[in-house]
Amino acid sequence: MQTSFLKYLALRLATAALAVVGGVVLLLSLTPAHSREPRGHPARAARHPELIAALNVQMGLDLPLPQRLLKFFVDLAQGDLGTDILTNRPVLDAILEALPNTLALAVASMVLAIAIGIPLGAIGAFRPNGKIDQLIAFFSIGFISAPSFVVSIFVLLLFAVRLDWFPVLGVGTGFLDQLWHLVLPAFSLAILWIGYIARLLRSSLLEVLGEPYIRTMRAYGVPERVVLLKYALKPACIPTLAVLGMGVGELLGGAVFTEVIFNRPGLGSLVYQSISTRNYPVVQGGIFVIVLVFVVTNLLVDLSYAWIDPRGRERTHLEGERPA
Amino acid sequence: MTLPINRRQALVGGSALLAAATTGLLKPRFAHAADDTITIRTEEDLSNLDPANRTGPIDVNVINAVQQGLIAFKPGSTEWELDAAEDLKQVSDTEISFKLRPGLKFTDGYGDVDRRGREVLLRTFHQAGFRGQEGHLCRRLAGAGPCRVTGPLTGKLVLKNAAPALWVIALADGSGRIISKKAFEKLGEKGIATTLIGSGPYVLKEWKQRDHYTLVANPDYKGPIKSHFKTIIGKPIAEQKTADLAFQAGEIDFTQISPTNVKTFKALPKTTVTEVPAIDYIWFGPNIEAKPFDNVKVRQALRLAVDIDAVLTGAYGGLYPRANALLAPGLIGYWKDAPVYKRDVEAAKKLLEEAGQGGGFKTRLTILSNAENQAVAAIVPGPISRKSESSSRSRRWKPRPIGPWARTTPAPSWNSRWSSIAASSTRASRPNGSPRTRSAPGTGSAGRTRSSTIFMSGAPRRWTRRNARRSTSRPSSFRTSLRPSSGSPTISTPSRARTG
Repeated sequence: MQTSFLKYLALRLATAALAVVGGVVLLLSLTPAHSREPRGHPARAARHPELIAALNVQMGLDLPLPQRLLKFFVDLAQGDLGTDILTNRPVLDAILEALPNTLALAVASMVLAIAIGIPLGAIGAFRPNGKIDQLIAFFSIGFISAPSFVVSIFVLLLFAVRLDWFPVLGVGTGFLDQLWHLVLPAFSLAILWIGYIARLLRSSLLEVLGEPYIRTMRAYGVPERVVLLKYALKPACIPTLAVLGMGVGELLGGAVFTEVIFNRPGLGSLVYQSISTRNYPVVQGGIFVIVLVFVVTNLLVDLSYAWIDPRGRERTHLEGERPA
Repeated sequence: MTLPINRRQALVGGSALLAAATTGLLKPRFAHAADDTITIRTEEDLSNLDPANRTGPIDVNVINAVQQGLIAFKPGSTEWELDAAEDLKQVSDTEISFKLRPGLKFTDGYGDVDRRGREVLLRTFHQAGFRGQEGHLCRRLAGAGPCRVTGPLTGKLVLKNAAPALWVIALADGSGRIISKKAFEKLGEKGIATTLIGSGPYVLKEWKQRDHYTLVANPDYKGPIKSHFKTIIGKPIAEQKTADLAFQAGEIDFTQISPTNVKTFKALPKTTVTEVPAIDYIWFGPNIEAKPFDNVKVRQALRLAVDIDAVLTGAYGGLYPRANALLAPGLIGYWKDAPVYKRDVEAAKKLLEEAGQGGGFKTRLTILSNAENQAVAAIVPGPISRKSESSSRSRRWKPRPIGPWARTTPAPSWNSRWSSIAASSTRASRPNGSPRTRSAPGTGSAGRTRSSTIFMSGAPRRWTRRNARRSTSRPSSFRTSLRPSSGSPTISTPSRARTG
């Protein structure tokens, strides 16, 4: 069994590595699509055509794609993601400064989404099609439909400007201050996932509640609350867990609007600003890290999914022992 | 290690956090906490603090606050005055001699300027420029030669050719900053990109990238410029809406605001809204060396085909009057009686036929993607395309929201500088170019002759500040310095704002 799991792990690791390499190939392939445009800093490039060539050399854009790929991976093996063409700083430094802010935002959003979304989904499934369920459905769909940047503006207007409860800008200093700066952006970002998780959990919970073993428990007189919370909720959360893995990955790269509006110096806003200044080394490094985190997160979720769900473990076990 | 928290403890903890928030315990320190501190919004973060490699107006404003030049612009003016130099003379067409003020001292222990006269270095003149290329001043300004030190406090600049514009676009601006040779040699090109050593009225105390930077008054500064604030905190806020909200929430004291929000901000207590007349340019930048735009008649036809008034109404809500020349009112060289090109389809058709393009042609309009530009891109091709339907061939425009090269909206002085560079190059290339000029930039007509400008809008800039201070909040402390920018002006630090 252990051997089969190791085989499964090796397979998933290989798939994940392939996904990262594929992402890098795609990323580097897209860069020369701008070859008709000046690639350097716009202000400089417009005035100094010879600087464009110098910048291209510095960014490695003068090399053919295979050489660029090779150079990228060789540099990567040495922990070098390139140099910021504007500040002359190592790209890795800029990313390591930004990444904790984005991770904090993504994790806080997801925690908030889970903390609110799962109870809402459970309440909805407890009395399906009741008034509370309909109300939750109404809000959930509303949350899913509301773009995060619109929500961000509204929560800022209400909680920062009118009520003066929370700050508008930045990430803060010190743990409590950083936590306080995290509330509004995390909430804005979590809104969509609250609705999504609530709807997803409700439907999977209803499906589980229709299973024969639940019917048996009810027949034995197990209280409904115990049936729901103890025996139905855990298996119903498994599909949600898989979605959460994707969600964390998406939040890492998709928090751009929230980071821009709340002026948080995170990874998304770093990549956004670098795209607007055509700072390709930072763009490449930033997207590479986002891809990496996305793939690693999904890998961990896949592994935990197999670990949590006994049926999944069994399937893995059987597939591992299946003769070739 | 585990941290056992039961439900009751979690509820109590949550309530305590909420209580702390509502009572202000966890509130951030707001911008107007101290009278001698001002928090300003900049549209971008600092990028490169090496004067020779600076990337834009945000960099140069901070560089100018920390490093001195031989001369500096007078606050709110394009006239210059002596700064680090006690004396400055144009000895000949190609030689400028200077004498530094005594007592100038570099920050961070890099030495007294007067004791280390030989370490004074005019970075751009003396060193290779961007990425090892020849310093752009050397190339563009008829070849500025080395800065030669002739004594403890004296030196001279030797030019290869006369460069009259050197005074206003180099000596008084970011290119002419004096940096410590010792600091440059120690820190290297990469080091001085992030570490700012100077002798100016402010010290860059902290720069937390993409979050904020802090300038504090330099106690060792000996020059004539007065610092109105002990501390200036710059916060890069790219999103205009965020800046508006941050100002309303009291987290910043000074920002540019959306024109549509002027009424809202005027109604805020302790707030002053300042409107600065300016011109916001949008121009077509066709390749005039390639067909069909190599023919001036095609460009003229395009100018006549675009309905500029419709653009101003449709894309800018009719808020801005039309500008008909490159320079804003108030600038030297402003062309008051510039011709107003109204849409004239028949004349445009005639010009196209004369250019051999009677059947029309296809081209592509590339814009920088934002709401205003997309509206412009939607309006501009409309009438042209409709007109083409009556032509024998389709002449379609395809707005593509990608690269910025064909579209830019510089601040007025950006264009002024651009014009000035072009004009001064022309003058300097004459055998007997004027040895020196103190006129404001933008006095030449190069902008008009070179430009393929089709339309402009006279878009005033709105700035707002909070009147939360005593004398330190005098309007004179807030000068706008319209510098090269990709769309918006930036404010100068109060170091440039002198009340005399």
